[in-house]
Amino acid sequence: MAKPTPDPTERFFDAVAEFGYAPLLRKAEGTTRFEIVDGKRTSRWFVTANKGHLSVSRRGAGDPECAIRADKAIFEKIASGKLNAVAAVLRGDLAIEGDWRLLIWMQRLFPGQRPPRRTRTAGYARRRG
Amino acid sequence: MSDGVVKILDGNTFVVSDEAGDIEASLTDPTGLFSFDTRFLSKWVLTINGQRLGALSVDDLQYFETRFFLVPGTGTVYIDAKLSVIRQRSVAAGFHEDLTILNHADKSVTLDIRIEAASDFADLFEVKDALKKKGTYSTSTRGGKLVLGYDRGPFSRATEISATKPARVDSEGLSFRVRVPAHGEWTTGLDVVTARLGGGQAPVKVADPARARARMARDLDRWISAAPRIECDWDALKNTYRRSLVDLAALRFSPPIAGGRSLPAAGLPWFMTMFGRDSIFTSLQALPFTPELAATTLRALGDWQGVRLDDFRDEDPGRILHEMRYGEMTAFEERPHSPYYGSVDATPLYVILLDEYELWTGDRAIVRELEIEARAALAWIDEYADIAGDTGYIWYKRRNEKTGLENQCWKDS
Repeated sequence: MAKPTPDPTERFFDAVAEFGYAPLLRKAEGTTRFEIVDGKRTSRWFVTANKGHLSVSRRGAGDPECAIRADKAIFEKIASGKLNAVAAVLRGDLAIEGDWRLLIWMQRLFPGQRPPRRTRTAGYARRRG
Repeated sequence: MSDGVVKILDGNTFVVSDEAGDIEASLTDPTGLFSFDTRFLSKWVLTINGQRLGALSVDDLQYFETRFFLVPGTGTVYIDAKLSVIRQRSVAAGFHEDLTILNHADKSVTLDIRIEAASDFADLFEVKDALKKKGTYSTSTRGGKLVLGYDRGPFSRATEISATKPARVDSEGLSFRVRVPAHGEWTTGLDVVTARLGGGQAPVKVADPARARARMARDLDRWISAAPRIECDWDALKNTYRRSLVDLAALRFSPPIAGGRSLPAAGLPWFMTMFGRDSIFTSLQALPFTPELAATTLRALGDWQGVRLDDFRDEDPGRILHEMRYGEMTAFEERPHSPYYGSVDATPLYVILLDEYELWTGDRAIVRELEIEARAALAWIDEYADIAGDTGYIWYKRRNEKTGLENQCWKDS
């Protein structure tokens, strides 16, 4: 039997794991625990960042530096770039405890609204790459 | 004390009241208890036997603490009062107030003391623009506390009011019936605690007011002793310098992402938040005295540096933010300040501050640490700010035409 297509939340964390190295997160250090609530079921992901190197696991050891909790529908909108994570925190749609910086940096993994309007990217992308 | 209002603050939590310590805010009037850009108290009025109090004097003890000396009656002529009242107020997760009533008469008195309290939970933007609220209000009295609440979907804010002495609590305030002996006094503590709830978050833990005050006092002493000293025989200069350091301390603000460190906000009451331009300019001007402000400003603004295109927030890769806000209108994206990036000068100023910081302090490590941010800022100047195309100038035009800033340089109004 073919493996079922993973749902959007799983796809997001799979993609983060595949990133491996994300230069935009080079300052992030520590573990962020995501608790995604789907009705009565809560699933957990732990994303650990170490100078831009990312690893994802379903189990965490010790207290995370940042804990994030959201309903699945909200989280999937954030992960697909349709909702802004900071506004969601202020609204109460996304609960956060611990180091906010990890959320700000994690938000860099969420896609933007649209691709850059210019193809010329000068030093910025080249030096980051 | 000036213009008839008294202000105390700690970061973005501040209280603006009249000279008697009372608050009676109208929608457009920036008085009240504010925290994280929300007004948590718009009414706070003390009466004794139904009578308002008049101010004899105000002692500005610290920027976070003040003391009001009051007598019954609000007339302008001197009253030979048999009672005097002291309200000592300090900011602490809201504010704490010690209310003391002194009876100077030869016989005891029975007094009805009343504090009227209410909150409109206005977003600072609503106060500025006189806008109407969209959520629902609630009040409850439980466990000797008056809890004022405001809810709009998942967005939930509350103000908890309690006293250290037994009080009769109703939906509009707290009452005390007390007997004060001849030449005696009666005192109670009053606590007003702001709570941001929602998303399963636990309410903010109440800081012990005495410890909060001691912490702020210690922190201010440390701040002053870490700055260069001026020794001269002209006291006016020494006093002015010290006052400037204290004022600068009062302007500090610790955004949740600065890891407990402070950067300068832009000013009370409208602008107690992180700004690109204002935080950079103040840090720049204070470099010879308090260079740590610049270090935090550079790091915090670097953390929030734009990485994507977002028309609503006028965000571009490499752009330094203009302004961050935490209130209801930002939460519901009726305003783009989460954060908003529409400033044309914050990004070049960021590079200037980094350069000047290194010149003044010799701290090269931070330049290395922020090299990529600085290069991204320079790339923004070349790429995104030159919207007329290879002119060598920076230009601006907002992409958010509804709530973005039309003028993105000083002054942006």
